[in-house]
Parts: sequence; C-alpha cells; structure tokens
Amino acid sequence: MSPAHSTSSRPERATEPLVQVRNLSKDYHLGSFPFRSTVRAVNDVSFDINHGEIVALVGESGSGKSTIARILARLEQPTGGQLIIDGQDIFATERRKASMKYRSKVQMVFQDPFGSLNPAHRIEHFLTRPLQLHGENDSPKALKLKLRELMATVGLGEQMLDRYPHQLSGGQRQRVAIARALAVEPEIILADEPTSMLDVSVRIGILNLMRKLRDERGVSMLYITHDLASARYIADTTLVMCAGDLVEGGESIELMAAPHHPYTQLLLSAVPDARRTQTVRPPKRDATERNANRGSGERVTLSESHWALKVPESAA
Amino acid sequence: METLTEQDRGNIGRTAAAPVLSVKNLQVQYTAEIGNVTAVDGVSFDIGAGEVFGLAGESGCGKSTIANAVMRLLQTPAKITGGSIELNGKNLLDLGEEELRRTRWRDVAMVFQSAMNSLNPVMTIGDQIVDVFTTHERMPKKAARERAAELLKLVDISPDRLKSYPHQLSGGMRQRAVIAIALALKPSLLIMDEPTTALDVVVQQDIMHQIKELQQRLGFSILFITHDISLMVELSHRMAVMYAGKLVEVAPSKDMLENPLHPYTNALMGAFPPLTGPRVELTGIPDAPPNMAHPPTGCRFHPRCPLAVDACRTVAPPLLPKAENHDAACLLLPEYVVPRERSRR
Repeated sequence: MSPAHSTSSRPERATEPLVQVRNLSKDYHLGSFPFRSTVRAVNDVSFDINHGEIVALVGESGSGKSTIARILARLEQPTGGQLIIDGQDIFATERRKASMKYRSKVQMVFQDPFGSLNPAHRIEHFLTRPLQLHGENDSPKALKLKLRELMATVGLGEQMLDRYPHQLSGGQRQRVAIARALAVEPEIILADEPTSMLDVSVRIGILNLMRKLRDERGVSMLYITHDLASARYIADTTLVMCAGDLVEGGESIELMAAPHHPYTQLLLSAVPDARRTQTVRPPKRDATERNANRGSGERVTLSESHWALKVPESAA
Repeated sequence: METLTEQDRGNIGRTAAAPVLSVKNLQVQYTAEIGNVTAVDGVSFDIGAGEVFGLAGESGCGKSTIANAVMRLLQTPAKITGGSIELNGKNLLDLGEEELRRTRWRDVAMVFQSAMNSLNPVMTIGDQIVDVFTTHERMPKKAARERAAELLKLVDISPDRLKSYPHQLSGGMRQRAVIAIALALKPSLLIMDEPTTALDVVVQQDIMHQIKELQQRLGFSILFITHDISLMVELSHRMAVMYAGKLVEVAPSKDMLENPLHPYTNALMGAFPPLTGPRVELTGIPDAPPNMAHPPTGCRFHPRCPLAVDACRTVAPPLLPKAENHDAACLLLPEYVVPRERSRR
C-alpha cells in the first residue's frame, strides 16, 4: 500500500465506539387525510459499532434493517434519535444532506450490482470519480497508481478498468462497488445485502473480501443480511431485528449457539441446515412477532457480550 | 420426510418398477450469435413414483433449461437437439401441440421461479383455480368452485380467500396458492424451479413443510430445482449436482451430504457457511462458471478444480457408479465394484 492508502492517516484509535446509534426511530406516513396512518419502521434502536468491527444486522424483509442502513447513509431522515460518529452528533450538527466529509467517512455498498453501476461508463470512471471528488488533486500518474491498487485490493485485474459493467460477472461488479466505496478511504462501509443477488459459489469470495478489508485496513462494517449463516461467518457482533425493534444482540457465535429471544429462535430454526440433527418445529410465527413488540423494551443481560429484549411472561 | 427410514431414502427410485419420469441423453441447444450453445449436454436421470428428486447447481448450469424441456416450454432460440423425455412411458418429444396441452397440468405441472408473480393480477384466486377445472376437465362451474375451496384448504388457506385478488395475499400465501393450482389436477410429477428464493426464511420453511406434507399425503413425484443444497437435502430423497450442462454426481441426498465425491460437489457444499461449530475459513470456488459457448475441453470443471491433473484437460469423464447407489463423473475416483456376495444374489 502507498502512503496515501495507509491507515496511519486516520485519527488514533479511540476507545469510544466509532458509531453510536441512540434511540433511533423512523415513521413512514401512509395515505392522505383523512386516511393517514403511520408505520413505525424503526423503533427506538440503539447500538454501537467499534473501530474495525463487523456488525451484522439480521432480520426478515420489512423488519427495518435496510431503513437503518439508509438512515446511517443519510439517504433518509430519522423521526427521532441520535447518530454519533467519531464523537460528532450528526443530526444536530449537519444539515439534512450528507456533507462531503460525512460521505468520506461513511460509504455504502448496495444489494444489486447490476443496478448500481451506470452501464454507460467504464469501470475506471466509477473509481476515478470518488478519487477526484474526495482526493487531493492527484496527478494523472498518481491517480493511475491508486486505481491499480484499488483493483488489486478487491482482487480484480488491472485490465478490467477498461471494461463496461455488462462485461463483468455479478461477483466482479460487486467487487467494483466495494472498490468504489473504498476509494475515499471510509471509516465504515454499510453493506446492504451485498451477496443476495450473487451466485452461491461467489458469495463466500465477497464475504472473505469484506473480512480482509477489515483485517488489513481496519474498516468497520455494518453488514445487513437475512442470511444468518453468513452473519455468523463474518460478523463479530450480530443484531437481530424484528418488526422495527432490535430484539437481541451479541457476539455472533455465542448468540447463534444460545438464542434467547423467541424471534431469534424462530429465525434460526427456519434456516435450512441439513447437518442439524434434530428437526425443530418452529413456534407459530404470528404469535412470536406479536409478542416481540409487547415487551417493556427492557433488556436482559445474558453475558458480557450478549443481551436480549425482555419477553413478557405470557409469551415465554 | 420424518416417516422415511434411511433405507427408504436410498431405495426410492432405484427399486420402483417404472419411473414416472425418465430423461435419457437429453441435449438442448441455444442458437446465439456466437454460435450454438449446448446448455444441456447428454443428461440422463429417472424419477421414481413418489420420489423427490433434486437438481442443484449454479446459475447458468442448465437446471432450469431441463425443467423447461420436460414441460416442453422451450422456445426459440432454445431447441431440444437430442435424447428423450418419457413421462409415464410416453415420450413427450413425440407429442403434438394438442396432446401436449392435455398432458401439461394433468400429468406434469410446474411451479415457476417467481411463482408469486405468475398469478393473474386482475382475476380472483378462485377464478384462476376454477379456470383450470373448466378448461381441463369440463367441470360445471359450481362443482369447480367446491373443488377450488378444497384445494385452498389443502394448502392452509381459508376458502374465503377465493374471492381475493393476488395483491391482497402475502407472498407466502400467493406461493401456496400457486402450488395448490399446480396440484389441481393431481399430476404425477410436479416440477418446482427455485420455488422459495423470493421468500423470507421463515415463510420458506413453512412452505417446505407444506410441500413435504402434501407430497407424502398425495404421493406425487417432485423434480426440485435449487442452488441451496441445504434446502435440497432437507426435502429430496435423491439429488443430482449439475455443472456446465452435465450431471457430475447423482446420489441419495443423505449420501451426497455426508460423502460428496465429486470435487465440484465438495466445493459447492463448502460455499455455505455452517450455523454450528467453530468459525472456519471457507474458500468458495475460484473464478466464474465457464462460458458455455466455448466450454472447457475434457472435464468442464477442470479450470476451477483444485485436484485437476493433466488427463482432466483432455478426457471428458462419464457419469459412472463410484459407490453404492452413488454415481459421479470424475476421472480421479475409482470405479465402484459391486461386492461379490451381493452380485451373486
């Protein structure tokens, strides 16, 4: 890595978490007067992401996990709550739109690599632009060098720079999307289901790349997925979302070995796993979901690195 | 599946007198600018009565093409260029349009990949089911309505829903309705092409339970296509792994899981992170599937195979028995020799 890409330019690793989300809520308003109704997509969600940590946010469609990513990417304005990044209270100090500085810290990788790259541009374009917008006016020669490095980091050959998106496979495109996010040397990458559109055989490659970036560059990640096995595979911490609530969180392996909340249990039992010895008939889904939201919002501490939302007596 | 013993699992399809579906040496070509692409190349398999047969592989390996070939739904530029597809002893490739129309649905039905969206949005669920009965069985409307209500009950949907439009149902309900419609005429074979990919895990599991239950109760056979091997092992009795247009391994699902022989099957299994046990480093499969316009010579998997030797580059391995009830196409595996005392019997 060249000096420009080394991690030493970053501020000293603080003991404070990189990202602190506090009591985040988001309401969507549906319909128009007099039939207005409100859907609470995210309800009072709090969590931390440490420097160099991979946090997985798992849940089914509609659980609010993507909404959280979009709020963190500043593509949506929250209804309430705080977002503190590097000690800065973002919603209080920044305007509605994300500033350049914010975007150089927080980058996003989207689900669909077929839709997120403009088909009219060569790969070179996608990586040059962030470097020019956020970089220090590099000479063409220095720029070329950086491009080459970026491509090598994500495991793509230099010759791919001249290609168009349609000439690349899904896995290669997603690597380009990751390289693009990396170009600005962000502190955190928000990855919203980055592997769900990819073929099974290349998924692992993308997950390994994400982990490598964390290990080598210290980039934090928020990995949003509905695939619990992949969350267990790369994430240090897993958070489980159910209908807008964060219902359980903890060290990934520990959480999946001993899920506490009924919803986490339901989700885990539903994952097809041929190696599982006993077949678990899952609890009825509707009841679990309804009960999940009837709690007091209190958290039960299960261990130093594992907590769950308190389940009301009647449901347990 | 819980009711099947291990032996049943292995024996189903092998011992059945006549297979429901018998595909022999099937070849399908797509005509393209870059030349003819052979998407399915000499594929043979049988599905016995009441057997669930799985077909697994990456996108583009030809598994959906096989499904469409069995339904005779392939359209230009795709063309069946060789082999035979026998359904209950009748070669589907010899049938004319009218005979095909009668055969589809009555003898073989299909649940499509995005089945949730294959319902007509401007017709009620009830009308769509009644349609099947009136068209194929010339049943009076009233009787058809009653049958439709029964069908919905079969998949745990309340008969009130007959009057609902597809958009009024959830994704899982729509999927179950589609399955009900496919089963309307009690086909002997149901083809399911990635029936649950668009659904959440919890809904997926509900539907899988339902399919299992119905299959056991009604006894039809299933050709089940997916890229999710775990899901396949849970549902199917026997399965085949496909790579670049060819079958590379066929075995009872449990054997396949516990003792995969072909390097590709091994790699595919290794591409799924486990839910239990210690954290492991997985490698996935290097590179991408081959360009089918110019498939690799010899064994088609050799450019990505960690074990490939020189011979793999030139010799195309045939699918041969490599263990009991277990076929694989790999040069590196010794051929299975039937134990003496058994061959004497």
